[in-house]
Amino acid sequence: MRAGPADVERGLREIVGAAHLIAGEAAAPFAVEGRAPRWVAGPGSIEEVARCLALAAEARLAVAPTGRGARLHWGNPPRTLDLVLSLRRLDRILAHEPADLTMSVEAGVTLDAVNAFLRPQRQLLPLDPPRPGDSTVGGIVATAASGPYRARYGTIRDLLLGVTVVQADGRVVKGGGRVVKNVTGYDMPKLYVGALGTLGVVVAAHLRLHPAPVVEETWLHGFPGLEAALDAGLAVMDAPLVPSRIELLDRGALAAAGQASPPEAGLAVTVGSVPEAVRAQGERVAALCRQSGGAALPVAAPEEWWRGVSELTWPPEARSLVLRIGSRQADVVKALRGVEAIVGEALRRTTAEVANGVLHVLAAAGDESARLARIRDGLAPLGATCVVEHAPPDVKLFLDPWGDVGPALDLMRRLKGELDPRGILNPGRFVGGI
Amino acid sequence: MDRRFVDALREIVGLDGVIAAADDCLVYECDMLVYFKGAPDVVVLPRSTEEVAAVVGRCVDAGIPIIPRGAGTGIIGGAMAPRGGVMIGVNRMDRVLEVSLPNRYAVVEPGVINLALTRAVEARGYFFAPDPASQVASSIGGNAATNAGGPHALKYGSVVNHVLGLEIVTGSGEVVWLGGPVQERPGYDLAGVVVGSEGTLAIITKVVVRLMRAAEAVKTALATFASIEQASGAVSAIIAEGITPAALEAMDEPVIRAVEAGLKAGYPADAKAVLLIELDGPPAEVEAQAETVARLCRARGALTLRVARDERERADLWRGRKGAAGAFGRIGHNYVLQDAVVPRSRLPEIMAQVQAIAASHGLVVANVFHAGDGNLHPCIFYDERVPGQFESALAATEAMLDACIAVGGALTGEHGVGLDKAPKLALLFTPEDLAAMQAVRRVFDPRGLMNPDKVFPSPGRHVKPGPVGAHKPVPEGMWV
Repeated sequence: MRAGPADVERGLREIVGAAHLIAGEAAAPFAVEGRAPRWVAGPGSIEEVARCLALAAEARLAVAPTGRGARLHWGNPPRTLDLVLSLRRLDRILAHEPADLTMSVEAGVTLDAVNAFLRPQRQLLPLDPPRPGDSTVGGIVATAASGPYRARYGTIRDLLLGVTVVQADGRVVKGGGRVVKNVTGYDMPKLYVGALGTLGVVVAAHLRLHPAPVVEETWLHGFPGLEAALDAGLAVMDAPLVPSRIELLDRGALAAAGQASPPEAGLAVTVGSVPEAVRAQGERVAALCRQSGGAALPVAAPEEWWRGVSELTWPPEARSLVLRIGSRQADVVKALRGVEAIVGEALRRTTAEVANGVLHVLAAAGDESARLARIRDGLAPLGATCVVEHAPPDVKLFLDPWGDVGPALDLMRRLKGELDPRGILNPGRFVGGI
Repeated sequence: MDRRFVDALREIVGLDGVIAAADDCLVYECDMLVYFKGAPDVVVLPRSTEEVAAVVGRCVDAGIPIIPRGAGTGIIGGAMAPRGGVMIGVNRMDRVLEVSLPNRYAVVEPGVINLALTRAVEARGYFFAPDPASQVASSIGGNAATNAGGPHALKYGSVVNHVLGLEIVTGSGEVVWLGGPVQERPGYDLAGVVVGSEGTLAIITKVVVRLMRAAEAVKTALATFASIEQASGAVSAIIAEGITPAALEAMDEPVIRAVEAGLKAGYPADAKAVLLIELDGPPAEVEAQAETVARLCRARGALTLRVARDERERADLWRGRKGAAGAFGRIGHNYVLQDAVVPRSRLPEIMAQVQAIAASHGLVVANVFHAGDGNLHPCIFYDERVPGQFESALAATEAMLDACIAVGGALTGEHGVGLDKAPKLALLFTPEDLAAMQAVRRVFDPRGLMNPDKVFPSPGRHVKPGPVGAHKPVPEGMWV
């Protein structure tokens, strides 16, 4: 017999303690995409997470795992929601092996906390998605959130050596390991990356770190057009340079980043190395930009500037639409032009990671379901993907934020069925309504 | 095997694509781990994805095991058939289908030889980063199936970091694309788990690989030491300093002597251990790092430090490393090779343990390994004509594996699990961990026909390693 709501509540309170359980009306502010949970539980240990999930499985509760909620607006609204499982109390750094360049953390540790810890030891977890202060390691794994550093360092996929996961039935399993090279068994950590918490709840992660570069510098060049800026970006990629970031900004993005009288397009390149090598590469970048008609623009405080750039397309206002488009590197401007042709005046600003073919487009919200279909049709010949990162809730109800993932969806559904047979983890939120 | 079934396979792949005579199938009875043997009942050599799918479909209908095989250079008992079945060799699917340098990818068929891809793009300044020592012979499909490593995995990562997409034929015979040239895409990262699944989920029929821009400067140096423990100490110091060399390889005395006797790579024959250190990147960075590396090596007791002055000297230094395993024949009659990983800060202590374990069994051990990422390859020599030595060697190699795991290491860093280590998976994973992997397997291979007995222990089907048989010299083309 299934437990009734009173039993569930009593059970959750026993597990996490009264101080860490919110129930009824008080849980309303924790709504996920407009759907309020009945309970919000804040387990304080991996074991408590496991017990909460075992209870949820038993009672068939729909569970939404969350860190600090930075990306809780990604994906479909949940089909149903009973329990928000907050991992923010799991915020311990478990181990750091400086000589191995590895560390183990609980899932609720934020990216900023990790890097603040590592900075004095001249190491870093080289990820730069928006909102690092609210982005937990677990959340980054679940969303595969990345930023322009991807050009050099890859994404969490490349840095995640191992995971501890609480499965949908409450059992604790691990995948991968703690060493930097490992092919023992299936590479299970890959499955949880970008899975939006639908296959299991990542509660701890083993991470590969990188040495912090001795010096890092950023150069920004303005261009008369997007195509010219992309040409320069591709030329930088084709040269034997080691850029950490290659970001293209349109006029709207340059203006929002504080550029007075901005040109049509900008290209920002970061290089990190020893001072000599940084200077030499900076000269090459400048020369390649000049060849495409670029002119240097000032960047005062690069680290703050980059943080600002990463938030240019973060949903600043309710009535906006943010698209994340994946294209081949040389197609980023083609993809942008295609969106521009449909969105027109509503297009506010765009940033594009040239080295990885990732665009973020911010537009004023409109009639999304019609516009989105036309945008996706336009991108299809490029093989490009289009994910809606943000849309007003009333609009979002009528669109598919993920788009068609193709015939592999069948395998994805089967995987979900195997790892979460009762469908309790984030039901309906992922691709194809998984 | 049923004649009509074989005829049906001939209809799919043509007469010249089926090998059914028992004698001819014997060629396929093992990979380069020669002490596990199992010939397939039939070998098929398809030329297209459609042919692979049709063959798999037939096997699924008949409930016959399917064993994918690339170049057969693996050393884990992976591409062999302990319970017979149909082996699908992808060697005739060897075309590079597309190269896009601006977008940094290539689409290749699985039978393309690893080094051939780099050869195809190096004139334009690009390369395919994974470089298992078998790269002159091993296939990219096999590299992807085993998530192969290689010396340069230290800086550039293993194959999984270089696969953007796969076309696969699942264990149900479905053809599906996972991922592709566009890097940013929603959905589960199924390609990420198929890479390294050793043919137990699907057969890979196309691979989209990342191409990398070659570095502007490369510096290769050889440092000699009085002991392998000291050399390991230098490795740990270099990594801890925040330098990630392109490669950081170690060899101990028996290897050095064998290499010099055979290959004349210019290694000082009296050295007890050498480190091969390669730095690549922007010239000024390489210069600065080279100075730091030299300082750290000297501080850790390096006897000599020599930098290759030109491409020929560099090639010589590498020739010794890549040919090391091939020179093993000079050390002993037979050997067992281990592939294990430890946290790299634990290298010095684990190397001391490796020596002690070999000594306690009265056997010679030679070490040639990817020191920078803590990936050991202790190689234990024995003479199968001496009763008990084979068993002794196996016991020693298992003790070394246990020692690695005890310090937080892994069972295998780049070779894979195969038949060889399937029974040992439980040393690292709980039954629940393994059940999660089995759940993944059911998604792709619901009938359990893909490469059975590999990776996971099969209850009641533990295949015992047998002696090598008639005296065989160590295979000339053996790589680690």
